[in-house]
Amino acid sequence: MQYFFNRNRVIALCFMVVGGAFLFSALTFEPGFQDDSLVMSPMAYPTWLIYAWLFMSLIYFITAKKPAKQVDLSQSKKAIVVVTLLIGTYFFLFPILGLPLSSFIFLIAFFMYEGMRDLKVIIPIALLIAFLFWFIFEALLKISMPRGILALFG
Amino acid sequence: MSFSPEVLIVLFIGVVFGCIIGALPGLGTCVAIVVCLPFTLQLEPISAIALLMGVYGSSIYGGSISAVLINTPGTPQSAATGMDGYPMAKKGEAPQALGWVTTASIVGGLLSCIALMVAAPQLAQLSLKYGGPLEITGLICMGLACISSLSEGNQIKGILMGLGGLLLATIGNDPVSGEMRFLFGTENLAGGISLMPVVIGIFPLAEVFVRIHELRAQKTATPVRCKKIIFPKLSAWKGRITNLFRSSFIGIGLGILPGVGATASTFVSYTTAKKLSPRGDRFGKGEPDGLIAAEASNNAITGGALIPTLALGIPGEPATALMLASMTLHGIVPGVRLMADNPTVVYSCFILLIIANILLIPASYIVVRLFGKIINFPPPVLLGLIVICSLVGVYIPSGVFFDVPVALVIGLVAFGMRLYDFPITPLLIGYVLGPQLEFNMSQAAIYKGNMSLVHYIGSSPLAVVLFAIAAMFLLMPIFKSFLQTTKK
Amino acid sequence: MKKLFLISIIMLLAAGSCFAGDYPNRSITLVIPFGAGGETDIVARVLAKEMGKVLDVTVAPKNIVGAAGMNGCKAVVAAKPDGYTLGVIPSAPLVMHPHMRKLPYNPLESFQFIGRASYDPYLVLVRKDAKWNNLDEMIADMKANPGKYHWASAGAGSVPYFAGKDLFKSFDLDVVHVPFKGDAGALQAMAAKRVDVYTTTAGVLTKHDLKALAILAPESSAKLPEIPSVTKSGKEVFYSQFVTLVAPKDIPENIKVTLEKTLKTVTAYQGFVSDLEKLGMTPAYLDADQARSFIESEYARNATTIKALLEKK
Repeated sequence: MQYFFNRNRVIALCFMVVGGAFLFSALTFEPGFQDDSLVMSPMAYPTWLIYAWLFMSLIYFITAKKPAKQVDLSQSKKAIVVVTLLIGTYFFLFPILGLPLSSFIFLIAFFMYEGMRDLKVIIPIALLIAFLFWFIFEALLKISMPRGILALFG
Repeated sequence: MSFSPEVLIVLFIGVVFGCIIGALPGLGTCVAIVVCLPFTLQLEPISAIALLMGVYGSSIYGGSISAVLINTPGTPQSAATGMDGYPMAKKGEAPQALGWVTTASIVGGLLSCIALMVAAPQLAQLSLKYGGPLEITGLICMGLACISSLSEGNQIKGILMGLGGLLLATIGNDPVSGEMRFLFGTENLAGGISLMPVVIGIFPLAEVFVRIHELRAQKTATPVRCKKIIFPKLSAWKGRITNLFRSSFIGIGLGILPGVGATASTFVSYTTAKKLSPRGDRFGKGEPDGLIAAEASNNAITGGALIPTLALGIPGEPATALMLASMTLHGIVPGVRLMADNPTVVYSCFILLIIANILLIPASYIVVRLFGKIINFPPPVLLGLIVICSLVGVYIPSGVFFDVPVALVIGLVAFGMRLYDFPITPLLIGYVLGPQLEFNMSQAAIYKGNMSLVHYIGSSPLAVVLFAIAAMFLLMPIFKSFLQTTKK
Repeated sequence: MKKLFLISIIMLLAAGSCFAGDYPNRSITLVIPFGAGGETDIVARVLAKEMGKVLDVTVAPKNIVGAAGMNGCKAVVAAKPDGYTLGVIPSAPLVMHPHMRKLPYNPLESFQFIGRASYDPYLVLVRKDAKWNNLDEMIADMKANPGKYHWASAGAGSVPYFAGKDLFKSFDLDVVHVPFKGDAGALQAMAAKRVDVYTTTAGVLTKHDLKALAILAPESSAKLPEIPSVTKSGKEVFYSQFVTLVAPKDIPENIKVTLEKTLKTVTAYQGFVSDLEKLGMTPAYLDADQARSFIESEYARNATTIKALLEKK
């Protein structure tokens, strides 16, 4: 069994599962309104794509050999997870705190995680970058960004 | 016809500004043009046109700068440039790569200006005649077939990625009937997955993750250093001139067909060059031919896209739609009567575009020096900057917050794909061309009516040619790898 | 160190906030549910510019695209009703889409209408060199040649779509429908002779080689008196494009009145009128209550026609 399921085969299986989910959605689709003049029904083209996808996944599964290059995530796994969380939090905070504040917080957290610990250095840099973006986009170019809780102040 | 200094200054500002925005990973042509809109409404007509033209062309060029230096193309059009540009940069040849990029861009842009000047009405008529749904479907198939060639050695994965991109594009509302598909229960997907989250997820965000991984997993990351641009010597051009001209013409030709776009043309041009160049095997590893092919066609599109805009009043892309709107508001009515009523405007457009292309040289010096310094920032600062640019780049064009988490998810998936050796560009190609493909196929189906398929396709010789080339692009690489594996 | 941190946080908070005062005392966001460069977008930007001058604050247009305008409408509905988020919404999302599919909001109940800014009835358009000179000729030719001609729409669910469908169904004609993405695609196909008929507002007449056979309104318009109304050929097929200014429901009365007055001033202003004219549109101001009754009547009228058109055979 161990020789049958190599990394590529596992990925192919995942693809087939995803394809299956789409296929299910396609086959149970009920159009809200259907215009007879539109010769192709809304799900026609996607259904062909899904069948092609499933077919290719199958070929992938069958022809997959053990991958030549091993991917070693052991050292970076933790970092990837943390960075994803940092970026995710930043994106989440953006509509709540507005651009300059959330960017500032993100940069400080990110710099510190990546090993830049000297506060005298990182605070001015983060401040400068956050301020620069705010200035250029909101003040100069007047593009409106979410104000979030800042609206409470004014 | 006089050009006040104001116009030239506005043009130069537009070129530099467009270049910088295009170069910032995550921003791009969309953002650059949207940002300029308020100004264009306030400026005089010629100045407004100058600003838009300057920004349009240079933002594409700027995207190529960041593709070469950081592997994060600022616009989808520059994705092909990164394929040879970044490997060259990693080899320490970044200044030379940028030299090739700049020269090819300028020549491509100038050639398309000449086409515009000489043959705008004729080309416009051509775009009308051959812009039918069947021909465009053929064209898109040709673009999609490039996937096979771009993922040589890895075709199964490449085709899977292409199909994945096509499938991803079907989420949301159907371009033909407006019905909502694949919502999986959430209203948020009703608008589909817009372009920016995909582009930003695939390139800048995935790059951030890749670098974090590399910083931990490998002790030494290959540094990219770039202090200035080194233009290629004339002797280096030997044997490459045909490529240059051919790629430019592909850009012009596909640019006049509205909607099919920039991205398709760069990949078609790249694939054609790969097949026809004696150095085809080195594509993807840092071969200037690839750079020339991608960049020349990429900037040639600007002139091409202007042709239907000016001569027919029909914009091919969002950027030209904005130009059209701005011109209309200033009383300039593009369309069949423009040449007759307002010849000054038409000639001004041509000349402005020529100057804009030439201004790329000083602009490039400024921007390359600036970015040369930026890429030397300590990695956390550079990566943090990229993340912020990504956020801004996703949010500004659409204004919908949901796009932002989508970009992050796509970024993670793209990172996984890069780790596990899945080619990313086919995903982009499938995704960008998907909606157009479906739309044109549906229209073609309507026109076909009860005719037999063979009869219908045969009725348009151009379509036959396009489909044939598409089949060739698709099957030849597969055939080649098949032969290679059986030889072993 | 802590002080530095604190000061920077305060600076950043200050960067995003402002002081209290009379309405309006900071910039207003004008949501546009469609893409930059489109018809709605340009009208909205002109409106924003003029309103900004009258109110003496920045009115910042913001495009929120997707789902045929639904994303933008949702954003306005969900916004805080403090008068700082407004929307510019054309006819289709208000009076047509609700009859096609279930929307997460009810246009009649979720918005406070400030007023209507423009109104343009649709025209039946054919190429300038087409052999028909009036609507009756076209109808006769199409009756004699069922399935031979093609008509364009700007996409299923758009106003031209319903206009065309209604037109051909009312006169009992068999004309093949070809959907396009917006005006641009349809006009290109017209020029390329891939379709024969299109319906849209009068703005395109100057830019393209087209002629109008009839106007889809009860009477001919003052601007184009020589184009007969569709009623002359015997049927009532009325479609139009109008642009409204909306706010989230429940905005304070005084803010609503201020905005109403602003809209009235702007739509009367010569610069606005001429800008709109360049786009081929007609300013047609209605105040908040009049706009509401207008929209409600359009909504009701469309309910019956659209339901009839969408009946599955």
